[in-house]
Order: sequence, then structure tokens, then C-alpha cells
Amino acid sequence: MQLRLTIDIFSGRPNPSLVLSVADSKSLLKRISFGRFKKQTEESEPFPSMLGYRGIIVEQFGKKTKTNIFPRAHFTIDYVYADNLLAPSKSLPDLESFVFDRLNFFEEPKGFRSFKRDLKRKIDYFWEKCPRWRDKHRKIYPELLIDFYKKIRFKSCFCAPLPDLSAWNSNQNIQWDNNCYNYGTNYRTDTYAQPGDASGSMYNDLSACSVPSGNISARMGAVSDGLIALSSNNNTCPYPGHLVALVVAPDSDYHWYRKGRNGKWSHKMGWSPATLLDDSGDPINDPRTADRGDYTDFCTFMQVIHGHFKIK
Amino acid sequence: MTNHWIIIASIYSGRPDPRWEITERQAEHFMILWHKAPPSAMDVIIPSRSGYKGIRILAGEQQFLIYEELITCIEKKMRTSKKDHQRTIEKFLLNTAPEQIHQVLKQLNVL
Repeated sequence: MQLRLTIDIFSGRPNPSLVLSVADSKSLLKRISFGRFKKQTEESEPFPSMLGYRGIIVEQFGKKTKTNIFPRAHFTIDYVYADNLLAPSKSLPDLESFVFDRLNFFEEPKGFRSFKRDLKRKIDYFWEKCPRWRDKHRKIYPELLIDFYKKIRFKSCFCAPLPDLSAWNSNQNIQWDNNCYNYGTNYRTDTYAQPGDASGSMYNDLSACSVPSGNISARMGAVSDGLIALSSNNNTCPYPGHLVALVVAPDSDYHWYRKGRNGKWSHKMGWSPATLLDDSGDPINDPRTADRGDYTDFCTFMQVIHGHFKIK
Repeated sequence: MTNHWIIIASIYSGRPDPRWEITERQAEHFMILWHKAPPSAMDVIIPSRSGYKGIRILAGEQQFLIYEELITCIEKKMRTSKKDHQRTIEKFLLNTAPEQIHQVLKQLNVL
């Protein structure tokens, strides 16, 4: 009986793997331990479907051993997954050190010169991030799925635009020529609209939300276009119209979010497809607390009333 | 081959992205790199994130998108994609940026 070890790290390209000698296979089997396998259910700990390193796969071939290991077992933090079953296992650190002892025997993935150097960092990252990912998954995923498919009866923001991501994302020209300001205001101009441009008062200072007297901020440009600043709003839907939020990456850029009819926030980053998720991949319940990358300054919520503003 | 090659570095969310024109020689060198590049089954996917989101090239009827070691050429709705190993082509194009844009790209750790 021989074992093949595979480092589960890539998403598209083949993972690096190594076939162990019979002696090494026996030695590895002694290091592996796991509890009783149970069928995976919705309540089971989910497999960490994360980008990057996700654990080590052990496959056996040749004559079967007495050890009750499946033909293909995927060891990850605290669990081993095999054939829709899972069992508790604390063997991953041992497997990782076994891999590191033999790392030179693994073939370096093509075009990835620093693979071996990066592996340690990726493993550390996985151990740090995986528990949080699982926690988040356990908490939000079932609800997200229900929310995704449910029919909206009570529209929390009934004047707001319908969920229409595909209208902005499915046509290349619409997607590329409309930015966050277009998406936020739900006004397609195909011109990459700029706050204040239509009203002759385009912003000239993006250093912060508030700028020195005589300069024009993105907020002032938007107000000049006909948007209404709601400084005291607390993420509640206005009537009439819909709610947008303005943030600024100091000295760099501005960005808009919009609240949809179902109360969920979405946004479109430049020529990118519009999305429901923030920079951490989380749904956006409140743009003030979302992961906004470099857009650190939250400026204000604003009200957009269709027919009462003009952008270009 | 068109005379005007416009390079757009996709960085911003709201304001217009920086753009510049490359010389004929630079465009020729780009085309040599493009022809040498191995084919890819995957097209460039423009990421939905803040910050750097790749390069767009406007060259007459042709457009190229470059991101994460892939290049996609779009011409008359036809897409052809190739691999850009170690971002060689992307870095070549970004390094043609005028000094002011170059500084911005460096600040954003794109270069």
C-alpha cells in the first residue's frame, strides 16, 4: 500500500502532490488519527471552501491496509472529510510537518517560483482565517440562502431600485461606461458620471469628506446635481426616493453604495460588475461598517429622488 | 495597426481612471509579447473590488483587458485570451505610464 499526499492550495491549476514510498506511507499512517465518521448534514462543520491553502489530501492505492482510512481523505483543521462523511481529527499539524520534511521532493508548480517559500505563510494564514470563516459561514450562510431566494412581501425601501445586478453587469458597454455614481443613483449615462459635472460644480478636492472653503468636495458636487444630504440619517430608507452612501479614499477617489428595495446594500466599483459583497466578501448591512479597503472616510447618507437630479 | 494606443489603469471607483498613450514602438513590442504568449482557456474577469482592477487597452477596433496573468483581446465581439506569465506584459505596459501616474501606481503597490 502506498499513499499520495496532495497539498490542497490551488483553485484552477493542479495541486502539487507526492507519492510516498511504502516505508514513508507506513510511517505517515502511524501519525494519522481520527474519530468516528458521520454523514455530513446541514448541521455539520462545513468544509472550508476558501481561496488558497485548505489542508492536505491523503490518497491510498495498492493493497488495502488494515487502517480504516478512505481511498481519499481530506484533512483540514479539526476534521477529515471523505465521501460525504466527516470525522474529528487533529492530524493536520502532523501532516503539515511531514510535508515540510519532504517539501523538496514535491514538484514546484510551473510559473510559481516562490511556492515553497509562500507555503508556510499560506498555511499560517489558513490557520488564522479558517476558524473565523467557519464561524461566519455558520452564522450567515443559511440566512443568506433563504434571503436570496425569498419573495419580497414587505419592501423595506419600496421606492428604491429593484435588485437589477444583471442590468448593469450583463452588457459589456453598460458595465464599463457606468461607475459607482451611475449605479448609486440608478441613472445610466454611459459617460462615467462625475458628481457636480452636470450642474457645473464638479468636485476638485478629494482630500476628505469636508474640504476647505472655496474647494468643492464630492458631496458638494452631488448636492449640486440634486442629491439631498441626510447627515442625521441612520441607514433608514427615505421617502420618496432611495438611500445612497458616499465614502472617500482620501486624496484618491470617492465611492457610492445604494440601498435596494429589499433593504440590502450593493455597489459598483468603477467598471467592475455591481456586487452585493464588500471587500471581505461579506454582505453589506451598513456601508459605515463594511470593509471598504482604502475608502476609509464615511461622508454621509444621501437621498436620491428620481426626476429631481441630473448627472453626466 | 492603429496609430493610437490608449492604456487605462483601472484604479478608481468614481473618478475617471488614469489613461495615457503609448508610442508606436511600445505598441509593436506589446504586439510581439501578445503573439508570443501562450493561449489560455480562461478570459480576464474584472474583479468587483476597490483598488487596482487591471488594465484596459483601446486600440482602434481592438480592446485588450489584462488582469491576474491573463490577457483577453476583444475584437468585433470575439474574445481571444492568452496567459501573461509573471505579469510580464502587464508590468511592461504599466511602466510606460507617465511619471505622475507611475507614482500613483507605486503608492497603490501595483508596481
